[in-house]
Amino acid sequence: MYESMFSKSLVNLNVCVNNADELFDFIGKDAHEKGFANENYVRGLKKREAQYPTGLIFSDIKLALPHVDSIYINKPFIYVAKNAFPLKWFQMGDSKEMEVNNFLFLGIKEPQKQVGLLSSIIASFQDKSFVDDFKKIDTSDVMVKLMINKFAQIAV
Amino acid sequence: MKIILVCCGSGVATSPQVANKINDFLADKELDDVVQAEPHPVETAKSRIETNPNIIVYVGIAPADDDLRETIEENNVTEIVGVPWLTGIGENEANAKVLAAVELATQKPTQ
Repeated sequence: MYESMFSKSLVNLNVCVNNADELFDFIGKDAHEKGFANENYVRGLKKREAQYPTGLIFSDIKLALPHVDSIYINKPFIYVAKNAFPLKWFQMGDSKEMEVNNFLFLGIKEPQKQVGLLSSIIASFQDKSFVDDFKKIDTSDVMVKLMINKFAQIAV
Repeated sequence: MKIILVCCGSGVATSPQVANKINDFLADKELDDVVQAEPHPVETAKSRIETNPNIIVYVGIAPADDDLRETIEENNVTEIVGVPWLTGIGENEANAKVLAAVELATQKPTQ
């Protein structure tokens, strides 16, 4: 039922930007141009991340989950991105510095409906076998399959 | 019903995750009829704590600023960092803190 949130066009595993601002410009603009987010989404991302950073250090992977208030989102989506090298980022909670090259941009439109999906994503990144697959995958095709196989069938 | 207030920046993504995790834990401990976790945007935390004496724990995904921390302390609310429920690292310890705070708050005053 979440299948529509994932698409090959919302996966980019070959991003090569130098910092968080450039990443937000690049991914944010793409999500906007594809109709998933409105014209203020990039600004919303930057503002939200500066106030409440989204980097998380799991046992086996570092991940950032940039997200914004639902007013910026037209259609719910999850945009998967990997940068060519780790970017300087800040941790959720204590704002400590970290480095990260894995990103899931969460386009949340109706929080109540997407809570099941999010908790499943969080659980998956605690699971080593899923994380190993996620790290290994280097094509959009395989990545979107992994996402749909893992997440599309979850009941809300 | 006692309340565990769970706050992130927007109240849409991470705080509902953490609130669900805490509610699962409370259900496991059969405490779900005395206390529940509620996700809310952090902007509303101060006024909620000031006006609702049933709030016993504040779980912040972001650290409380000085103003909010003062309110938390004045109202004898326990502050717990929420990130362990997202990453799983330190989750047992965080659950133990919740349990301790709930036990403390639900104790009948002894005369």
